[in-house]
Amino acid sequence: MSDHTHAAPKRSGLWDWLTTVDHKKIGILYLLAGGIFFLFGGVEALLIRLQLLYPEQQVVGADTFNQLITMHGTTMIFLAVMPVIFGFMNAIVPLQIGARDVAFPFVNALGFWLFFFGGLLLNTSWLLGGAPNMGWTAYATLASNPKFTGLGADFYVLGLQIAGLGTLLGGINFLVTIINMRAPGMTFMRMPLFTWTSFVTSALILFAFPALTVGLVFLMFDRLFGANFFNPDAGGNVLIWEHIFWIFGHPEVYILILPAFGIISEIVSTFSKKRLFGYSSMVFATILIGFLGFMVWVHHMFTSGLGPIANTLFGIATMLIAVPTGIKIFNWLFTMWGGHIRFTTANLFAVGFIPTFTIGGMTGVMLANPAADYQYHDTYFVVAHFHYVIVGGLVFGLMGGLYYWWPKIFGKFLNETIGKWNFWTFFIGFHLTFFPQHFLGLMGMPRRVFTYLKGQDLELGNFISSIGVLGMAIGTILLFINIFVAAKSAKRAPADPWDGRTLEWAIPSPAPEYNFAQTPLVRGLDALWTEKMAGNKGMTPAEPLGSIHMPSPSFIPFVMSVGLFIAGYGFMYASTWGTYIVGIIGLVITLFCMLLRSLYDDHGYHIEPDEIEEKGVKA
Amino acid sequence: MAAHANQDMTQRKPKIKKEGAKRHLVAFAASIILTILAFVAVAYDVVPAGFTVPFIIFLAIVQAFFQLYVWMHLDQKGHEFPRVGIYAGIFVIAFMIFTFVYWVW
Repeated sequence: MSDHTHAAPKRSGLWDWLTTVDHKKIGILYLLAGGIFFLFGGVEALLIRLQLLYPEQQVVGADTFNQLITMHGTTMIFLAVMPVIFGFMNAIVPLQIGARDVAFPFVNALGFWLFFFGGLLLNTSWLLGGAPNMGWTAYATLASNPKFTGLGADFYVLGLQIAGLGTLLGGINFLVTIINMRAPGMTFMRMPLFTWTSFVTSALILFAFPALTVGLVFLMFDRLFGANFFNPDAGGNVLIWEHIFWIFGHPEVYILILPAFGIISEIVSTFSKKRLFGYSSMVFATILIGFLGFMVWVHHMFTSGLGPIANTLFGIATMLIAVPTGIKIFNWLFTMWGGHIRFTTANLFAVGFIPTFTIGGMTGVMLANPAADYQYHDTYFVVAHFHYVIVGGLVFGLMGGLYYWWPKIFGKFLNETIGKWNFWTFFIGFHLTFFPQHFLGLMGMPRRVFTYLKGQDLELGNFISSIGVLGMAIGTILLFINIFVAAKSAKRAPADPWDGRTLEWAIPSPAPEYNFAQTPLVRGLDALWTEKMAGNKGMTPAEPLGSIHMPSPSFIPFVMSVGLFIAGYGFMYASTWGTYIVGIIGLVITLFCMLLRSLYDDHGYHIEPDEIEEKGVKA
Repeated sequence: MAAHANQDMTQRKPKIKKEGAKRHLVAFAASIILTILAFVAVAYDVVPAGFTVPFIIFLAIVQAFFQLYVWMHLDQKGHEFPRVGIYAGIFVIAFMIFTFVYWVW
């Protein structure tokens, strides 16, 4: 240990953020990047609804509309909500399990930068000849046709490939962190539910993302190197893409929703001042949902002619998922039952989540019936369904999480008055936007069409829907105003502003870089609440105050990701052998960074007890 | 602190059985023999035609388990999570192959 430096490297400003390996700072970076992409996706949604405001409009035109729906879906799923989920996982999970950092801080930073540059690559397509226009599922009939997609699909393939690598790294990192770095006494059945759902989500990422990677590699070879995986004329099969995409894509929706379930569980329990009802059944339901999530992908393909046996079995498997999800809904209701409920903004989002998500789940069971699905398929009914689960479920959960954990992450409060306006405008706007779409779908309006005709009774529903989207836009703007107000306010958040139950509220807000001056001893579920009930002021330490080992910041993850970013453009624009040089340079940069990382040992540094005491922690 | 940290590290390491090289040598020899069998099966018509591919896939699975259990210590204590992960992964992939072969194609 003698080769450790004993002083923290001094870095500040932009350089600090570009080189950080601190999970709390990476969490903030994820939230920031996710927030920016969320705005991009939101503006695309506004344009979509503007185009559909009246029948037979020509606001953006058909091809731009295709690009808008594709980029709206892709951006929201891969570049907005995934990073915000990872932001929360980074900022909160290590605190909830009493760890000082994640298992692989370097890999963590690499995961963020890969996601960021992948997303950037995808979004530069707007400026470089047109965004992808084949729908966010990129079905190969369109996606492998260069005449239809132009360069757009290349941006999709390479951007998602790079971003997907980052996500895969992040998932592996959190699996290892949660398995290996729990504080003494933090057994699996004492882990807070957000940690549990993050754990199951990470496992799903580990199993699901390789399928996407393989599918994207096939598509990349078809498009860039003239392969024929999806070319029926040469013995390929377009249906293979649909299978591969949904083998990834269905677990992906559970990757998205499970952390929201976790956030809701934390919020409902804290603001009802009660232990989560049926904790062990919640854990069981989470695992079961994760497991069943892999068994249902064919329900996205009921109408592609797979036969009655496959359709029936996958329909039944899909309906089965309603059982563990129902367990969760009832557990939240029973947690609130008889609780001392406080309707803070976070809890409003949680309470708004429950009925909204239940509606989305109910339409999901309707869609799971293959015979009925022939009617719903590719209509606005499907659009309404998945926006009810993804916006009404996931985005409500994430916004609730923002209001709940903002004090812990930034040390300041989001304003509650603006917050309540944020909730109500967003909530009402959301239902106005998507509730009529159920009926538009049942009346036969197909999804992904850029306009509709007069006199088919579709005008009113579309008009209400387009007005409702303003409510969501106002809600989002209020959220950003609130963030600005919070940044300017002088009011500091205390360590435990909500009378919290879990370990993250036992340490100062924002958490110091080493999280816990002394690793805490966990003595029950809801670790902090257990101590409060025992009459203790804080956690009992599990170790004496000693010097704390910290990882050194590194610029390598950033450069490594830039290498792949350059390689992406290089391969996209390469046509003859000579022009592959740019792509090869990019790959060489990345490989050189890997070599550098492997050869250069950096053992990190130590924070000594006297430094910790200066910062106000008693030994 | 240094002593404390070291102690902490040894506690968390999985317990490794000290058995010597015998198991590894046996597994190594078995792997070589299995590989030779696979080559023989393909090069000479000793296995009935049509059974060759299933046969060598079976050999490959046996070798994969040698790799995991003998060389990567999956059988030792402290490897419960890798085991769960690998079995879950095998189950998911087997389910998908089964589905593709019997239901959807």
